Amino acid sequence: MSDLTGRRPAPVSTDEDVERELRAHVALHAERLMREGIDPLEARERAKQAFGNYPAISRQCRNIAASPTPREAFASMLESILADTRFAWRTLRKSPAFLVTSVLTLALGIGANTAIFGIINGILLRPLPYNEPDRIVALWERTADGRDNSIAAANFWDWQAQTSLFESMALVPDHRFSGRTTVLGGSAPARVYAGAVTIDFFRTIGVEPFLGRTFGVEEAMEGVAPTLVVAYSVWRDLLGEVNDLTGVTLSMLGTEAAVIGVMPAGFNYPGQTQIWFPFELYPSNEHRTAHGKSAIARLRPDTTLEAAAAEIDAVGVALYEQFGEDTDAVGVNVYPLKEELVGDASRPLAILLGAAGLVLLVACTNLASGLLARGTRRSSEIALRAALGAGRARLVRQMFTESILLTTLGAVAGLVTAQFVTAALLRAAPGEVWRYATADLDIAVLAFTVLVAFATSLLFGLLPALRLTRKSDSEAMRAGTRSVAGGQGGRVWSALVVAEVALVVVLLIGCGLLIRSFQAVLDVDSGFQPAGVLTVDLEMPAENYSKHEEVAQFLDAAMTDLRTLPGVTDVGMINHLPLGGFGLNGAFEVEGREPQAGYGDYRVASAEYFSAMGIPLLDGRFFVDDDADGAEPVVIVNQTLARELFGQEPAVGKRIGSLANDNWVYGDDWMRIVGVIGDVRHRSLTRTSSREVYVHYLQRPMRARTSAITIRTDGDPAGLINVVRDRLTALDPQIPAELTPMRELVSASLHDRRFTVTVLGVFSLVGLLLASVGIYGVVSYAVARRQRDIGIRLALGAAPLRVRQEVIRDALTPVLIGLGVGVLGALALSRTLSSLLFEVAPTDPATFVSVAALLLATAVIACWLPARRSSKIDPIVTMRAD
Amino acid sequence: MDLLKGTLDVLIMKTVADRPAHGYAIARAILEQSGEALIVEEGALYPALRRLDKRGLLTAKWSKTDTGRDAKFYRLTTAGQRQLSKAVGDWDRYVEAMGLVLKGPQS
Repeated sequence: MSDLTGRRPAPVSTDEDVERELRAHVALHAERLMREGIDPLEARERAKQAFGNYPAISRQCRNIAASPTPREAFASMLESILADTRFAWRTLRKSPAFLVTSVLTLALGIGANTAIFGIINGILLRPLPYNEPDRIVALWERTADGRDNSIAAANFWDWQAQTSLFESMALVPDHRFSGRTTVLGGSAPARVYAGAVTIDFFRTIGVEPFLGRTFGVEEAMEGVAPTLVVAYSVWRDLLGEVNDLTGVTLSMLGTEAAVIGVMPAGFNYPGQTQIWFPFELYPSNEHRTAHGKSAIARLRPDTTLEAAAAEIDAVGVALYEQFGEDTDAVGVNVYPLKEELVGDASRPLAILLGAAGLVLLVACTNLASGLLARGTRRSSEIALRAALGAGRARLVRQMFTESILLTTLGAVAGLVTAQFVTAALLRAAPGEVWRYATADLDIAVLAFTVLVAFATSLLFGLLPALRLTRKSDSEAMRAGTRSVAGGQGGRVWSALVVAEVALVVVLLIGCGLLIRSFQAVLDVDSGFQPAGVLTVDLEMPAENYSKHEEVAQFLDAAMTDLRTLPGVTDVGMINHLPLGGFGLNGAFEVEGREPQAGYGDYRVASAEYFSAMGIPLLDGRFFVDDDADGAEPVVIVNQTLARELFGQEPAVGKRIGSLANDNWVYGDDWMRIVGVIGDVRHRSLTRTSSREVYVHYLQRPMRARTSAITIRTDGDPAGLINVVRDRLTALDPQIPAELTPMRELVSASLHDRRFTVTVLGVFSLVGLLLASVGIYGVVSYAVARRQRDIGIRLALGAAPLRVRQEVIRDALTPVLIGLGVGVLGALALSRTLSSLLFEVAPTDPATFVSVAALLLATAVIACWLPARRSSKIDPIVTMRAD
Repeated sequence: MDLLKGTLDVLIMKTVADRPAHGYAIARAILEQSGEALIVEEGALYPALRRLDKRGLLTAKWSKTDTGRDAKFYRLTTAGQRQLSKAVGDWDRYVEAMGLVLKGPQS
């Protein structure tokens, strides 16, 4: 009995021991007084008086003696916790369905949250791994309509010269435009990301070299021997990890340069840069519209971002006033570097966070209803134990132990889940910004989610116990299974269902909108036919291809050779593939108009490129082999350029000229438009085409040194990879090439979007699953609770169908309310998704209606199963049951 | 003079530090050794003895007094010895500090 009531039998001997001791004291005192000659009766009386309040002291001593020693108290506490835990485990094991569902629910809720919160905290909150990163800013030119634009070097020189609040400033490549360069002289020819940076770059970003040194002023002086700083990966893969850099050189862009330093592992700013070389050593395009660069700056320690931003913006504004037409920058935008690197990514990250939070809430709601149902179902057991003498505290403690045990199991399972989810996310995760993520579990986040779970399980685990034990024992006994959970309990139930449904509706609608957007992106007409196309990304090293003829000769030989392969129908080339970065763009003249009338993207391509990529000709002709160097300069333009610059007039026959990116190399001859082709989505599938100008590669061969050969085949393009590589190696083994089917490039360009949709989709499914289990549980319970009512009504002749309908109607009411709340919530929240949506409104009716339908269908099924059981109740059995 | 709060435990431990003693002897000893200045209410001694016993600082055994009576004799345990020397040290520092303050700044 003792482990049920918590009373332990008191030892008999202690009280006696106390009595004997106190009596001995009085006797000893009296004995002494008698020795002093006082008569025995008097002595006893005085001794008693001197002792004080005998009964009170005796009671006090007995209490102390009966209380356990600290060690005993600890041991007995441990013992009773162990006993409670064992008892709780036995009880939980008796309802395995409840146990497994609860633990899985918690594992998903805690695991998903810990993983997502941990990763995102790492990305958004951890400081950049640079010296005093808070002082580093990114600079951009501001266009007339307020947008950021990449920088022209000429403007940067003026910013640098005319500001005083920056400690240093550096021009770096805009990594969105960066392509790879062939590097020779290492252990093998390789293609690496190389970027020209001004010599102050390393000082500005504040990273010390791992080996050697970085650029000093002497590196920028004219006539000095060229130098390079390389990334750790280059040192490891191409330089054999040499410790002494003396005499180590690499050859790139036609120049052999000494390697003077190696940066620490993981440092690749900007983007994926692997080799840095001094910008100052090479001729640069000094047009104020020759964009394509980016810049960072380090604030002086004694200034603020606002002051420095205001100063440099004023310089930018003054430059615009001074140069007017020659520049398109009206000012300078300044951003903290962290914001610059993480900014674009933070929206999708925040959305994943929100989704994970919703899953945790759904999990908690589910857990709550499970515990509540269980507690109520056990009401008669509890009442019985209370009647047998178990104290309220004891019963509550038992429930408490069960909740704690359950949540602990869930938390452990959640921790394991979190490890898996983190690993899976990092493996699948796309994008620049995820490079800042680590797989470390975030203890604070884990603690938070576990606490939330504990709070939920305690609240809802104890609620039934408290409610039951509040009533007098007999009342609870009489109430039994019938009415204990009615009334107030019913309202708690409904509230839980409403909350759960509402949360899941928000989750599903968010996910639905993203899925519809993804579908819309997949349906976009890219303007080309990627199926059956193999791309060969290559760069002819400047060392061996310094003359126009050499480049033209190689490309011509390669394309001619590849055309002979079986199954190949068209072979062309272009310098920048669609979806592979931004490429070049700049201003140009239009014959008979104001200077700088045109602006557009600019590419060089071969005659067969358009047919190889399946780009349609709308007017005029494609290039022909006769459009070679020396013939009349010709261009092909896209539909957007033709429409925007010439409107209804035919574009074919018009002349444009003086391409800003080119006229300093190729002069500014007028070029005749000979053809108009369909628009191609060059930048991304979700961005409409800009104006595009294509020039025949034989008229701009040096622009084709880095290019992509496109091969259209009848068969599977991946099957061609080996034979194409062999043919190219046979022509020149010093040209590293990367072969990828065009389909894969298209798919890779959607990686970010697919990732977000997938993760959100998984979360939504988990949420829906949890919610349907929750609804099922609630309705089953409601049916069980009303078994007697239903039995009586069936006995009195009620139609089973009617009873069933009633059960479903009762159960669906909170579902419908939840649906309404959820739809309102989604209307309020879906706007935050706008930047991720594509051709789908945040209030897209189709999504809202399908989500509502899906949820209702799930809820009806979840209600139907228990409802069916209700109409099969045998009245006799249920009434006998009491 | 009444006892300062919390000092009874220390007095008891000190009294039984050298040899075991029963409750009445402890009360007498405190009275005598303080030059009759500290008066312990005899009854109050016993809850204190019981508590020290519980905390494992004293241990008790029934035995005969000189006069042949049964009495419970208390003895200091090793834990009690540690506790006592700590308490004595604390007390000395306390008295010294109080003395410094009460005497005022010295020139």
